[in-house]
Amino acid sequence: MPPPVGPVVDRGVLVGAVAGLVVVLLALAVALLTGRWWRRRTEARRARRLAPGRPLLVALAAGDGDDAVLDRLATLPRAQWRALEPVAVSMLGKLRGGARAAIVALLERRGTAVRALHDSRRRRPTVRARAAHLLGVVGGPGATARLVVLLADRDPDVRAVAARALGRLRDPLAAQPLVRCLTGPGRALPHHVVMPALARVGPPARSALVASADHPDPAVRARVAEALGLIGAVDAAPRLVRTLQEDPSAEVRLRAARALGRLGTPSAVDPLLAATAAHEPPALRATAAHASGAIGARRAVPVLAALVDDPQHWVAHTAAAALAAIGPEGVAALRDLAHAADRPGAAAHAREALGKAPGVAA
Amino acid sequence: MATVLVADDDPDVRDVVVFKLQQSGHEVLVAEDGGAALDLARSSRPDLAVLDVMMPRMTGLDVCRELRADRATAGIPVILLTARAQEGDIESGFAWGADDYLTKPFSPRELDSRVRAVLARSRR
Amino acid sequence: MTVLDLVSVLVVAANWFVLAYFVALNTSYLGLIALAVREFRHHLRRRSWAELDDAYADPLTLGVSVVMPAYNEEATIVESVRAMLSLQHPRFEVVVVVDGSTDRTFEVMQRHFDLVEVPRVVPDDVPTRGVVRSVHAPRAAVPLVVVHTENGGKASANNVGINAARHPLVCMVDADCVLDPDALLALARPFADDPEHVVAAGGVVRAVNDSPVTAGRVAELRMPRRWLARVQVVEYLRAFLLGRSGWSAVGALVVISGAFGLFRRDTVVEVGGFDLDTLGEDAELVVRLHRHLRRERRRYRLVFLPEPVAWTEVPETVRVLGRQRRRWSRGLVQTLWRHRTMIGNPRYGAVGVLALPFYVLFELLAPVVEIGGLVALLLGLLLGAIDWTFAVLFFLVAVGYGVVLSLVALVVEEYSFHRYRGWRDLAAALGATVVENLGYRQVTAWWRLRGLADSLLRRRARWGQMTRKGFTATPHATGAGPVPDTGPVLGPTEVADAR
Repeated sequence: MPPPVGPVVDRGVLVGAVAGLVVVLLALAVALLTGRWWRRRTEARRARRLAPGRPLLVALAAGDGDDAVLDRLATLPRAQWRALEPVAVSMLGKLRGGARAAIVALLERRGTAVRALHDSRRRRPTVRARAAHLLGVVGGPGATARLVVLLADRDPDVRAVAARALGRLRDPLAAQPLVRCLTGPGRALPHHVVMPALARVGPPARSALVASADHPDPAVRARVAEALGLIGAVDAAPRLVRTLQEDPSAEVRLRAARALGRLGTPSAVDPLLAATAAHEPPALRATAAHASGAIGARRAVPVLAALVDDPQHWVAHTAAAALAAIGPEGVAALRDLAHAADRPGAAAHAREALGKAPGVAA
Repeated sequence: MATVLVADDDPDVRDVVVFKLQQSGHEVLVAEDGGAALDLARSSRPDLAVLDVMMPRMTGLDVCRELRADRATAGIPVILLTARAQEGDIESGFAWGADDYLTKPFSPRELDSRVRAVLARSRR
Repeated sequence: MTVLDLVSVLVVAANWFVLAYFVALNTSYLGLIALAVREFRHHLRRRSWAELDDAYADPLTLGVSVVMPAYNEEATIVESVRAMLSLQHPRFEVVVVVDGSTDRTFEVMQRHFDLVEVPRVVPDDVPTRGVVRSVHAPRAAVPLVVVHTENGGKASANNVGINAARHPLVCMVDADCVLDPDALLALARPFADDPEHVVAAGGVVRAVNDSPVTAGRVAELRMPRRWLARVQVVEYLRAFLLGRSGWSAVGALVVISGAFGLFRRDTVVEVGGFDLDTLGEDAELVVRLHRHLRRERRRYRLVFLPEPVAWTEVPETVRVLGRQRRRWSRGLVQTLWRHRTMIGNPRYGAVGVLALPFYVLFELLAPVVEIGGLVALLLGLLLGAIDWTFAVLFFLVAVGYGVVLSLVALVVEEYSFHRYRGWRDLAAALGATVVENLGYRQVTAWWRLRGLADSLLRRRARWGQMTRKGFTATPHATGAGPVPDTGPVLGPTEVADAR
C-alpha cells in the first residue's frame, strides 16, 4: 500500500530540516562553550590585575592619604589601574572625610575626571552615562556645567544619571537647570529622579520653583508644590497655603498639604485642618491630617480627635497617628478615645496609635 | 590593644575597617554575615564588636540583640555601622543596647576614635 | 479507496498538522526570545549605573510592604522572615500572614521575634475568607507584623496581607523563596522611574535546588543533582525569564508570579485584590488589572525585570511535580475562561490580540496537540501509512527545534546574566535541554492534559491548604489607601501613615 502523500519529497524536506537543526545545534553549543571560556578567562585576568592594587587602595583609604601609597597607586601600570578604577570609584561612595579626600586625590592624579569630561561627549550613550556618573562622584572644575548640558542629552538614561550626579555635587548652580527639568517642556526626565537631586541642592532652587507655581499645567504645579516642601523653602509656606486653599486640582492641593507638613510651618495648621473637612477628597483629608500632626500644633488636637471616628478607614487611621505625633496632648486625647465604649471604631484606631507612640504603654 | 570583631558583608568597607583597626594595634576578627558574627562573638568573646546593620540572614540589630540576651556576651560593647540614615534604626539600635553608631558613608579615622572611646568607657 | 486508506490519509495529515503546530509554537517562542534579548541589553546597560542605593537618600522613595503568606512552615519560617528583614530597602515592613496553620508556625515566630499582640485595625479593602484572629508585632522596633487568621487559602492570605499593609507598594513573596539582597530596591525602581504609569513589576523565579544557600542568600549557584530539577532549571529559564521578558517588551505581560511581584496597593484594591476562587490567582490578578485599566482607558505599564531573582526549590519528585502541573493547567483554564471576552479583542491591545491567544493556542492546547501527535504517529506506523525512517525523521524535527530553543535560552543566559559558572553545570544544562524535549515535555503534557480534563469535567479543586469556610467579606473600594507622605505626583490617590 503506497503512502498517499508523496514520500520522496516529504523525506527530502525532513532530512534537510534535521540536517539544518543539527548545524544550528552545533553552532549554539559552540557559542555556549566559547561564552563560558571567554568569561572565565576575562574574570581571571581581571582578578590578576586587581590583586596588586587593591590592598594599596585599602591602605590609602584607611591611612588617610599616605603619600608613599598614593605614589605607588598613581604609578600602577595602566592595565592594572583600569581594573582598579571602578573599585576606587565605588569606595568613594562609601567613605567620608580624609579617606575620601585621599581617593579623590588619587583619581585626580590618574586623570579620571578629565577623562570623564572627555567621555561625556562620546557617541555611545553607555560611555556618556558612565562619564556622567563619574563626574558626579569625583566632581572637579567644569563638572556641573558639563552635567547640566547632559540633562538635555538625547538618551534618557544619560539624562537621569546626569540629574542624580548633579544632586550628588550639591552645586547651587544646578538649581535652575534642575527646576527647568521639572517644569519646562524639554526632554522628559522622571521627576522622582529630579526631586531628590533638587532636595540635595536645597534652598537655591526656591525662586526658580516659585516662578512656576502658577503654571497652567496641574502636573507641573503639583511637582512645584512637592519640590518646595522637599527643599525646605520655609518662606514659601504662605504661597503653599494659598495653593492648598485655592488650587482647582485636588492633586495639587494634596501635594501642597504634604509640603506644608514637611516644612512644619505652624501658620499652616488652620488651613490644613480646614482641608480635613468631610466634603474634601479622602486622600487630601488623610494627607492634611498627617501634615498637621507632623507640624505638631496642639491646636490641631480637637479636630484630629474628631477625625479618628471617621468612617473612612485611612482618614481615621492617619488622624490617630497624627495625634500620637503631636505629643503629650495628642496622646491624652487618644487615651480618652481608647476608652470610648460608644465609639468602637475610634477606640480601635486610638489604641493602635497609642501602641506605636513613643514611650507610651497602651 | 584589644580584640575587635568586624562584621560587614561589603568587602570594600570591611577591608578598610579591618586595615584601620589593625593599624591602630587591635587584633581583628572578621565576619561576612550576621550569623558568622554571632558565632565568632560567642566563641572568642571580643572586647568590642563593629556591626553593619544590613547583613544577610541576621542584621546587625539581630546580632546586637542576641549578644545582649546572653549573659556571657551581654557586656560586649557594640558599634553599629548603618547605611540607612533612618532614625528608627538608630533608635532601635540604642534600644537594644548598642553603644554607638556611625552612618555610611563613614570616615575610617572617626570610626577609629569611636572604637577607642567606647573601649575606654567599657574598661572603666 | 478503502476506509483504511482514508484513515491513513487523515493520520498523515494529522502528523503534518502537528509538525506545523510545533514549528509555529517554537517560532513564536523564538520571537519572544528575540524581544527578550533586546530588553536584556537595555537592562544590562543600565545596571552598571543603576545606583539603587540612591533610594536611601531619596525622600520620595515609596514604602514597600512585603506580604508573606505562611501555612505550616514551622521549620523554615524564622529563617525566611529573617532573610526578608535583611533585604535592602529604606522603608519597608514585612507582613507575615499565618493562614490558620495546623503546626506551630505562629508559636515559633512568637518565641523567636518576641511578638506581642497589638491593636492594629485591619481594613477590609479587599475581600478575604480567613477571619483575622489577632495581629502581632515584635516588642522591639522591628518592621514586622504577623497577622494570625483562620485558614482561608493562599489567595485569601494574600488579601489579608494587602489589607494589613501600610505602605503604598505591596510585594507578594512566597515564604520559601530566597531573594537577591537588592531585590526590593531593584523591583521598586520602575515605580520611581515612571510613577505615573507603572502599576506592577514582576521579578523572575528560578530554580535553586542543591545550591548552597547560606545566610539567606544563594552562596554559589550550581545545577541540581536530579535530572527532574535540572530540566526545570532550563524550563524556567526559557519560559519565565525569556518568555515573560519578551511579553513585557510588547506590553503584554500577563503573568507576574505570586512568588515574587510588586504592586501598587491602591490599584490592586481598586480591582478587588486576589480572586479567592481561582487556582492561578497570580495570573488572574494580572489579567484583571489589564482588563480594568484598559477599560478605564488609563495609560499604565506592567514591567518584568530579568533581575533580581527569587530562587525557589522546584519539585523533585514526579508525584509533586505532576500535582503542580495539573494545578497550573487548571488555573490557566479558569483564568482564560473568566476573561474569555478579552481573547482576540483589540480593545485590550497586545494582551487581547497577542498574549491571550498565544496562551490559548500554545499553552492551553499544547498538551492536546502533543499527546495527539504522539498517538497519530503511532497510529500511522501501525497502519503502515508512514514508515519508520519517516517517523524518526519526523520526530527528530519536532524535538530538535525544541532543543534548539532551549539551547538558545542557555546561550542568552550565558551572555547576559551568567549566574552559573562551572563547566560541570554547563554539561548538565546541555543534557537537560535534550531531556526537557525528549521525555519531560511529553510527561508534563500528560499531566496538563489531565488538568485540562479535570477543568472540563468540573471536578472540584483539591488544593492542599484550602479548607473552605463560608465567610466572604464584600469587596468595597474606598478610593483611598494608606497615603504616606511620599508618592507619585499625579498618580491615583494614596493616603498617609504617620509612623
